[in-house]
Amino acid sequence: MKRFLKSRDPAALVTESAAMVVVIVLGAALVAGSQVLPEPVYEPVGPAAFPFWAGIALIILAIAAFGEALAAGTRPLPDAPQEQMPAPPLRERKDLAFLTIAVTALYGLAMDAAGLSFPVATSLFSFSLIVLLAGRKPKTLFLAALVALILGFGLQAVFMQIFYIDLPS
Amino acid sequence: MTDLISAFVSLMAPVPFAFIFIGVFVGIIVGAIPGLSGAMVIALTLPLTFFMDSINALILLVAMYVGSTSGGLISATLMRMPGTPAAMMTVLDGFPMAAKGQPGRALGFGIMASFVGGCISWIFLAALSPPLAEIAVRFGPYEIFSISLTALMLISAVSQGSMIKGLIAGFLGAAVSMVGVDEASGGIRLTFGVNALDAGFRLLPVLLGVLVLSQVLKDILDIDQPVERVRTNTRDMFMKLSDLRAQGVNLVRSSLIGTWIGILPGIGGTTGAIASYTVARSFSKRGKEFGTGCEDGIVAAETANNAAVNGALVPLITMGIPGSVVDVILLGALIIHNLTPGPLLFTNSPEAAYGIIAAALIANVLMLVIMLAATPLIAKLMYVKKAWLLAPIIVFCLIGAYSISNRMFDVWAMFGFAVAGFAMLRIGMPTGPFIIGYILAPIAEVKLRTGLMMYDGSFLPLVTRPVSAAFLAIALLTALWPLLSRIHAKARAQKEVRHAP
Repeated sequence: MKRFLKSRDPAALVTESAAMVVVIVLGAALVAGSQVLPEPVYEPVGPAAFPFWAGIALIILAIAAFGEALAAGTRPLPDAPQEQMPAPPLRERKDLAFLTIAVTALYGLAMDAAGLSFPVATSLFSFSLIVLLAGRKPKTLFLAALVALILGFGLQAVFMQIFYIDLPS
Repeated sequence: MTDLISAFVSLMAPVPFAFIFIGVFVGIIVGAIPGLSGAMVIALTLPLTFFMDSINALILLVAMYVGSTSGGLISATLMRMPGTPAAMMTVLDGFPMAAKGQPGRALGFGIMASFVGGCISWIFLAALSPPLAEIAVRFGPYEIFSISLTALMLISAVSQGSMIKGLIAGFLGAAVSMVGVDEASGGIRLTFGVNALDAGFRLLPVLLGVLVLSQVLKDILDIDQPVERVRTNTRDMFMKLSDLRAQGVNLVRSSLIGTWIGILPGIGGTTGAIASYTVARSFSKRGKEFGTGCEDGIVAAETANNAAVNGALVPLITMGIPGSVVDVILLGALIIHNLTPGPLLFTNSPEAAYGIIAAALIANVLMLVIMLAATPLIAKLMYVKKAWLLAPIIVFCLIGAYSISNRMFDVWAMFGFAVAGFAMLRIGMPTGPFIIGYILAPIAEVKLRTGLMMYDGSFLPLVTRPVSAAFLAIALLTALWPLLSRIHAKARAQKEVRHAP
């Protein structure tokens, strides 16, 4: 706990630790899943060995990665003067990234659960995402609507009439 | 030789030639736009090739590979942002030279170096592939298992960041590939009662999620990042003969390094560029000028990353082992078009094998022509706002994932892999080993178990067969390398302390 508190970037360390916990859970799932597989018949390895050892390897490596992160995070800061330190990175748009994930999930749900057709769902999705990322000026709104309609109805026509590739309907 | 000549003749027909031209042009543009990579555009194009003739599909993808690797140098030089990871070393000297008022000269050196690297490595591709395929036909399952294992270890070891994270990514990819049908026995495994998982996670949803959509999310995070611009001019873009002569040794050396690193299974152009740049700095009389706009640096980096493209095609078409992430997609393309990757490609589908080889050279020549003629135009396109590109990319991904078997489950799987890939990028875990692990683990497992069936359950041939033993030794050394180097460094430090006055 003390090491966590002393670390240079506690948030990054927590994120990395959480990721490694997920890896350990996945490794454990592989090990558990391999236990119910049939015994080998034609050769000594069988269907369970690779998942089992992959799971064990993931668990060991995740623990090692956690140790590596902890060691790196608690290493003392270099004695470089403040003016020589690199400039802080630009603010990341986490809000936009999460909104994009949400809008994209809604796009999938619109077709899968709500039964919206591909051209309509794609037009709505494209318009929303472009406006979200490019802004809401009148010119942007007009162009976004145009691009959205081309993507929705244009791609439907191209893929179904020319490429003979089915789209969600 | 006859097969190769007839491949050239058939590719010069209008339709295949048009596909190569389109592939190179699109590849260069995508390669020039930071945040979009060759792997992304090739993965996105793969579903579009379903309706195409297999040869046309393959040459289109190979042309995109060549174009995107070269296009990265434009943004590396004019924006200080490598358009593709392979151009990361070009930034170090390309941008400073452009900033000093010589953007044309910097681009010219890069373009010519890319062309020469591509040509020299193509000679190796054309000369080595057919005899290597003949040798590889004699490889048994244990040899293929050992080579796959070596590729997995190498890609994890040389990927950016810590080796442990590279290995975790590789094992995660392997784990994903194990879900569904066990290819060796035909049984279903690791589905945890979810029927939709019986067919496993398919290639396209995994590729599009981990490689393309995760990068889209990362691009959105950095959407406010300011861009440095250098005005482009075409003056001095044609490299003088005297410059070419002065760079002769650098060009040949960097080509050989790039080709060799490309041939090594699992390692791609980025490592080739880093290795070549480092070697060039050591040997150059102007070593101290590296990083300040030195021509030698641009030439070393650009020659090697393009040479690695053809080098990486060697293990792909001779053994079915991908040399880089893009080669994984090409491997997928071969499988989707019912072509068997590996040594039998030359026997069963020589038109495809030689078509790939011939397309690589034609694409390289077209790359030179397009880059010299259209770089100022391409340079304008690379400043296009990403906000307008990302929605179409997501829509194309959805179409690609859905079209593989017309089920929404694959789309949801792709979204899941996108979030997983994004999380990996956030914690500094490379996604390349994930993809390579996903492709190579089933090959390794099936080959090992087939070998065990052939040799009555004996593991001994793994170490008694020379090729298998050699690759296993390389894999073991790669795995132990961090430990060995740490012991070596510790011993050296102790020695220095002892000898200190």
